[in-house]
Amino acid sequence: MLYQILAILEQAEEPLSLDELSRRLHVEPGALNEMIAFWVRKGRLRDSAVVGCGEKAGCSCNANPQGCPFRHNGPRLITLCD
Amino acid sequence: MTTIAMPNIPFRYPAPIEREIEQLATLFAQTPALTDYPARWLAIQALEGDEALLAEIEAGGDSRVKAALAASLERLRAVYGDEIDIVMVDQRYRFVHDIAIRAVTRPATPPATLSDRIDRIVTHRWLGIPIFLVVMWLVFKLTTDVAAPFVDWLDRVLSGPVSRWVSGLLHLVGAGGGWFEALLIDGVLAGVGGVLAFVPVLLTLYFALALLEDSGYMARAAFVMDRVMRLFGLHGKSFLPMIVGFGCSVPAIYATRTLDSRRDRILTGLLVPFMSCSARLPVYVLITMIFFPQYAGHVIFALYLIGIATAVGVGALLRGLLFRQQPATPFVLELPPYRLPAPGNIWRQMWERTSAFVRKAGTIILTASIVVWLLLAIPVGGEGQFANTPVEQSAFAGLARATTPVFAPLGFGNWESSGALVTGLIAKEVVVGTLTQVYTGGEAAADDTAAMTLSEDLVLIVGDFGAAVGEALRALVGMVGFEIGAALEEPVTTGLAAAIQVGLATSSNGHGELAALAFLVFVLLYTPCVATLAASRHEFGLRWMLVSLVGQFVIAWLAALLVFQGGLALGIRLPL
Amino acid sequence: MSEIVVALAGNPNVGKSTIFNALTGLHQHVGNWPGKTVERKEGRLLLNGKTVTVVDLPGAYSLAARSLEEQIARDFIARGRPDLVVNVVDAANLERNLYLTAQLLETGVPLLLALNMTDIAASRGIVINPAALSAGLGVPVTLLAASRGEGISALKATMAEMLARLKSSKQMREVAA
Repeated sequence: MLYQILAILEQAEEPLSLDELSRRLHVEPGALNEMIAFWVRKGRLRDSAVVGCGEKAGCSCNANPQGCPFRHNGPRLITLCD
Repeated sequence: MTTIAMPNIPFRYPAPIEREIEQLATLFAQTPALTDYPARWLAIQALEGDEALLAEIEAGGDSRVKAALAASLERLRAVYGDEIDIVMVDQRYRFVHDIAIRAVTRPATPPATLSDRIDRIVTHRWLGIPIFLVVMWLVFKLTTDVAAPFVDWLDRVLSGPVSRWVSGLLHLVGAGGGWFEALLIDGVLAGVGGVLAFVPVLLTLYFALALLEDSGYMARAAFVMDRVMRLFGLHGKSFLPMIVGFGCSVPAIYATRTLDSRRDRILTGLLVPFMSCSARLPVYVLITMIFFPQYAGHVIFALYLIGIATAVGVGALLRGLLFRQQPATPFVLELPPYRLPAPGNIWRQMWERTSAFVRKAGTIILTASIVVWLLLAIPVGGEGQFANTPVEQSAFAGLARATTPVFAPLGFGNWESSGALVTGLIAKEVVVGTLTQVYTGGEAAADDTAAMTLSEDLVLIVGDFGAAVGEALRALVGMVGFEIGAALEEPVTTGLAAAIQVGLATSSNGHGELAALAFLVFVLLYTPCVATLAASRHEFGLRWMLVSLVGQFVIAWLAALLVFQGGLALGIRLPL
Repeated sequence: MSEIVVALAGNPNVGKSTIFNALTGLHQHVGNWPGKTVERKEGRLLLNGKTVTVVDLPGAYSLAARSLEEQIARDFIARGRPDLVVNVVDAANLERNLYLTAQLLETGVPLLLALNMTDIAASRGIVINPAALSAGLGVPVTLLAASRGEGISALKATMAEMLARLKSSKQMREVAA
């Protein structure tokens, strides 16, 4: 089950949507999310969101208390770790 | 030997693990300090590596228990390496999955939600990319056509009534007529005000971007563009920082951190500035409104496409030249259901981003405007005096003239344009500010002779605003496909527009439009602003920052040369 | 005579609280878990003339004790050994919910599966075979749509039946011993 997720990702030619992965494994999305979370905890998958502005950006948005306003949480991406 | 009779063992682990579970469970059941826990469960948790429970076993178990546990783990490690817990969790999931397969029947084709139906078209293999382009086109059409009337209005308000009020106020306190008034009006108001006039454009752009982000379309765009990215040997994830780059290059550079390899990060970081950031938009709007008023939206859209195409092309080139080819690693992407954007979210994003822009106008751009004004005020040659010198004889003109030979082959080798491009390195909006300053210097002062009362001014402002709303609405309706009335774009005839037109016509020997196009391409592609360079240095080091600095200048120069000289050679007359 | 304790366990957002309220009505006591900031809800229920204490455990995805909620649920079940655990699961997300069920089964605690949100599952075209589920897990299964108040009396009946059976087998074991 768990290993199949890694195998599919390793062999994939194209990006997959979470739904597509769920269909291929015949695992419902909620369970798949838990499995992905497990691999993320084990350091085998990376679950990312776009990182915002850095500390020493030197741009005017540093003054922004909420952080850089141009940062946006991009779509959730899951990739294999090396 | 006693076996612990469990009421029902629902599923078993692979034999080697099961053997150790049974041994340990027997031992735990005989250990008084551990009888609080179900023995088999405790054994499973121990083998799975539960730290809290391992600590309790360590504390409560005798030496026999500890030795047995260590031996069990040792034996399992020989079989499974570090993956004992993974094997156990996997077994649990298998058990669950088997039951789910047997007990749950899902519809063969799940009822397609509206989201699914939209995605079938929007993420379609062939339709996806054209749809993405259409969406982008709509965004830029919206930003130009709908926002433009408000830009005109704001510009008229700032250069007319506001200038008059400042001047009147200064006269009132007895500080009128001198260099201070010139600084405020020709320096600050022309420079900062010239940039601030474009706030409506940015508001509209940020509105459109927020709409796309909040509705869930951006995730689809990333999905669709992955194919394009990978066609050119780039990682699909590279597109995300690039989307951020449409707002601002600085966070886009930092967004490259999400990429897995340093190679990908640097490569994407080098390409991000080709994505046209929102600071460049005021320049596009200003120039296109003067030279191509009827095609402004199309020209601006084309510029964005040229930016993307350049990034993809340069990326493919760099991949081949500097970076070893490596297989792209595929990824899984969450496509959350589409949702109606929440007005609160949209408003917050618009507000935060626009206020960041306004803050920038109040800091970096203000400073740049004052420096430019000072340079414009200092006479070199001629008999002008400080703050009262013809602009052609100012220090700024002198310095800018030194750079004109670089730009002459591109069609915009007049000192005004060259100077604006140089100051634009501080922040791209400054190009607009400087153009306003050099072309309208001394002109604003003439305005205050037209004595108008405050109430007349207010009536003018409100009336103009009403006209702007009307024009914007007409443009909006026009976008949907209904043309109301005649084409309303008349050539812009303000002093600034006329001056820019004359300037470029002269510098290009009468091919002003071609020169304007080359100028726009140059602004799109040339060296990123200092904040972006700083971010680039911070993330990738001095060497790559210099590559970015020099490389982009060369690319922009070549591209502008191609546009201008190519256009001349082909005898293209614009507008077509 | 020691009191009978039934624990409600399940993932977050599976309608556990609704079931808890339906079972205990006004006979509730809300406090905190000892030394924790997590709310502890306890109530009383009369089953076949016997008072049963129902404890609503915090929502947990597993018994791995990665969060405070999971830790409380785990301690209560593994150490507290309630007489019966009613595992509330979301029928529309059964596979994810069953992971906790698998871990509950491993504790060996008497288990009853309360398949909730069957109305939502049905609206999504998901058909669940309770007999296959019960056979696979080796525990009784009852169906509920708690938000509509459906299945509560069946749940009570199954609870009463299980508690009675557990009691008699315990007595038999004691007699044998």
